[in-house]
Amino acid sequence: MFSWLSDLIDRFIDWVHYRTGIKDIVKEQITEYRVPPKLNKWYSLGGLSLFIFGLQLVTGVLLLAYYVPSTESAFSSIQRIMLEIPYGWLVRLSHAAGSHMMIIIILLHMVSVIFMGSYKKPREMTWLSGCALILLTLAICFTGYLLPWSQLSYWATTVATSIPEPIPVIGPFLVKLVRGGDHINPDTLNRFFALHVIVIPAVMLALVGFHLFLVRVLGISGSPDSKPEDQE
Amino acid sequence: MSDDLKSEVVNTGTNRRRFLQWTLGGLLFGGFVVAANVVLRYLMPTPPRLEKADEVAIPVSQIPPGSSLMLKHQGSPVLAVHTDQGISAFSAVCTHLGCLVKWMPGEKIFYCPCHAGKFDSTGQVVAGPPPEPLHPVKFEIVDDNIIFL
Repeated sequence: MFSWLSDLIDRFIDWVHYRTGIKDIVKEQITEYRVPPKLNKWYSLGGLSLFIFGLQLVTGVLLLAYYVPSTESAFSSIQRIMLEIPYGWLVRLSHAAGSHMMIIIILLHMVSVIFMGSYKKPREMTWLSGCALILLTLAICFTGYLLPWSQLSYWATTVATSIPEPIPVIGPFLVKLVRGGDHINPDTLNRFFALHVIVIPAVMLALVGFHLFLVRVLGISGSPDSKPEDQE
Repeated sequence: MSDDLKSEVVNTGTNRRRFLQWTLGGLLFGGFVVAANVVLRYLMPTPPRLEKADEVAIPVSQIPPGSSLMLKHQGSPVLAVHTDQGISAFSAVCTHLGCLVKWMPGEKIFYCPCHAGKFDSTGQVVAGPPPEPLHPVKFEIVDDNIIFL
């Protein structure tokens, strides 16, 4: 019935394949990619984190279409997204709920890696880049929390940015550096906005790439259930 | 005949794998359409709140002196009153916590039943918790018709 459509798609894929070798890449990396036996559902958590990260990028860009990063307009622009823009509530709450889910899933991912010993040699760099990624995820959640410029976000950020204050000698300097002043002020919103929408996501994308590259280079670590001879 | 039928089946590829492939593809495409609908409607500029068809016009005779009329204008409740000073119209939403005020013809005040806020006929707060006057609604009287803007 749709054979003409299949033919068209096949011809397009052949055209791309001739110029890129895409079929071989798909065959080696996806369709005939060998994984150790007895993988379980814990192995899906890394891919799930990647999926939520992608979802956050999409909903985040959509929010940028209406969000205004200024102390005068931030809160009213959020109200507009929630109350006036069609499906604005869905986009914003997906972004908010997604941030929570991302933390939960990454923590479960780390727990599974710890309990199955997957961080061991030669996968230390994968583990360390993952540790950097969860710290960046926490940082992106923290900077995003201030952006609605509500009472809740203002005071939560006031409390959280005062945490380094008791550090001897450099504590007060660090607080001032993060806030861009002695207190949370309009400049704080701008620097948090810049960190939240470009600096941290760009670094995270690079690190995710490195993380996945290492996973592919070293192969997936076998589950504790698989026999030693399966590990090759 | 039976050989022809057999080759026909093989060639068109009507088998379980193909059925599953098309079903999965269809589901994915359906999900994509739903998501695309959300994104497109989110990104489309919202239409202005007042369409021409939403214009509210009522004859002056519908509000005789001393009476009031509650009507819906641009999706929100509006209270029009006819006092000795003429016709005036306010948003019926109390500026305190958003209950609907009503006109008390005897006392000539707007009264909010929730927390006993009182406003005079010009919308100014007379008593109770409301922090600001009632919001006036603009209107014009053309040919004995009240047209809300």
